[in-house]
Parts: sequence; C-alpha cells; structure tokens
Amino acid sequence: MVEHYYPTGGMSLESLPGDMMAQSFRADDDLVRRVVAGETECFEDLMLRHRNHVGRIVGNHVPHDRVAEVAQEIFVKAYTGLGTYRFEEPFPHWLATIAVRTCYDFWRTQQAADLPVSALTAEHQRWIDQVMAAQSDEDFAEQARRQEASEVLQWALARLSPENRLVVTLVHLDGHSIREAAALLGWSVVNVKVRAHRARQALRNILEELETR
Amino acid sequence: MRPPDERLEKLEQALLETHRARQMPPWDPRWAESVMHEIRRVARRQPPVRQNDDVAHLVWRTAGFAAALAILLVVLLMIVSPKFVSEESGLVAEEIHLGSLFLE
Repeated sequence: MVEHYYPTGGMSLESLPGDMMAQSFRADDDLVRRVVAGETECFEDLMLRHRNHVGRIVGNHVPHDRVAEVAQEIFVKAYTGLGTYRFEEPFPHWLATIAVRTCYDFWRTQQAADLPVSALTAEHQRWIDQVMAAQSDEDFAEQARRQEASEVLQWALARLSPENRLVVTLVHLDGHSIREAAALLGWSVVNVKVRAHRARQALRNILEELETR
Repeated sequence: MRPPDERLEKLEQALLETHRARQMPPWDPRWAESVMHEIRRVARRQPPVRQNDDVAHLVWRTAGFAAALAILLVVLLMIVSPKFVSEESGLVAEEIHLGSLFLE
C-alpha cells in the first residue's frame, strides 16, 4: 500500500472525498500564486501544510537525525523553483519529486561506507535468529519493531549504491509502482525497471551474506 | 531448519515491516522559523520568477520558422543557380590540386 500524505490530518489521498482533495489542491495553488507574486510570508503556510508529507518521504530515505536538515533543503529548493510549477499536477506531487531527488543527492554526497559483516554485533545476529524463530504474526511484528531491526536494515541499505538504495526504498520498501518511481526520479520506466531488479538482487546478496555468516 | 530461500524471504519481510513501522521524528518547534529565515534570505537575493509559457512558445516557433526559411533559401539557391554551386566547388578542387603540387 503506497502512502500519500497530504495536509489533511494524515489521511491518505485515496480516502479523501474528491471535493475535499480538489479544495486542498486549489488552496495550494492560490498560495503558490501569492508567493510568486511577491508575498514571501505565504510560503510559511505552504510549508506547514506539507512538512509532514515531505518529512515522511525524507524519513523513509535518510537517517532520522538528518531529516530536518534535508527537509529544509527541499523547501528552499521548492521556493526557488516555484516559478517552474505548472499547476498541471497537484502541488504535493511536484514537491515529492523535489524531495526524492534531494534524498538521492544526499546519498550521492555521502562517503561510501565500508561496512563489513563484522560491523554488526552479536545483538544483531541474535535478532536475526529470533526473527527466524518467530512463530506467530505478533511475535514477528514485534521483532520487526526492534532497534536492532532498524540497524540491520540501515546497514544493508548503506552497502548499496545511491541509485540502488533509492530504487529499493521507493519500489520494494515504500511500495511505489515502477511508473510512479520513474516519475519521482525523472528516470525512464525501463531504467527503473532494470535497476529495481538488479537492486533487489544486490540487497538479497547482502542479506544472504548476513544470514549465512 | 528452513530452506535458505525461505529464510532469506523471512528476513526480507521482517526488514520490510521494520521500514513500514518507522516513526517520523517530531519537528523541532524552531524548525519552521529556521526555514523561513533561510527563505527570506533567499527571497532577497533570488525571488521565484514565473516562467512565461507564451514567451517560450514564441521563441520556439520563431526558431522553427527561421530554420525552415534558411533551408528553403538554400534549396532555392541551388535550383536557381546550379552553375554557381558547381563553379564554387570547381574552384575549391583546383586549390586542393595546386596545394598538393606545392607539397611535392
């Protein structure tokens, strides 16, 4: 299930009544027009309406302690690029493309991490064993919420290239379709399809190495 | 003991659940203020400018028209004076021939 968050109290786009959604998009467009006309302060309303939407996208891609910084960068980019917004698509979609591409830039500028399997501790190995031993759905879900789980996921993602990491996160973890991911990234559908397959294989190889150590 | 593929899938599924269970950290109360401070600074330097579609269309249409006109003129020139074209190319050929004599 793909989550689209809009300034509607956390409700998903699909669950919104059509007129409420249209009203929300119209309000965005009015604010954009006012900002471009020189009312800079209106940008604060626009930002507050969409910061959770941006925060969720960024939170899915970058470490939590960097979310605020990357989100700020996204809003500054959105402000300077506001003149290019065409009103043909909803403002949150346009903002989402800036957010995803900024997250990609974030990982491209990070130093490639040298993370051998030995970087993981006995706690992480114990977590893997407990996941494998989980019998009920509740037990499995509880294991998935543990801190070690999050650390193992971050460790595995950190070993992927920025492109593979982005595609794995968008397609396999967030659940976006290939077409949606291609639109967000500005890449061709074929490119995303091929990369999604290769990236998933790369992730599986990493997990296999981890699981069989 | 589960087969390796099944174990791998279970691990993948657990990590997928982990990703989906991620909670967004709360916003620092000063975050919006800090972003607006940066926006105001940027606004003074580089306010957003509406890109005019009409102007862009006009530029592209003019460029297309100019290119078509240039091609038309070249074609007309070749039709009206084929002799001129062949004379020009004859002179160039002669110069190349003379040049090779000097090289020898």
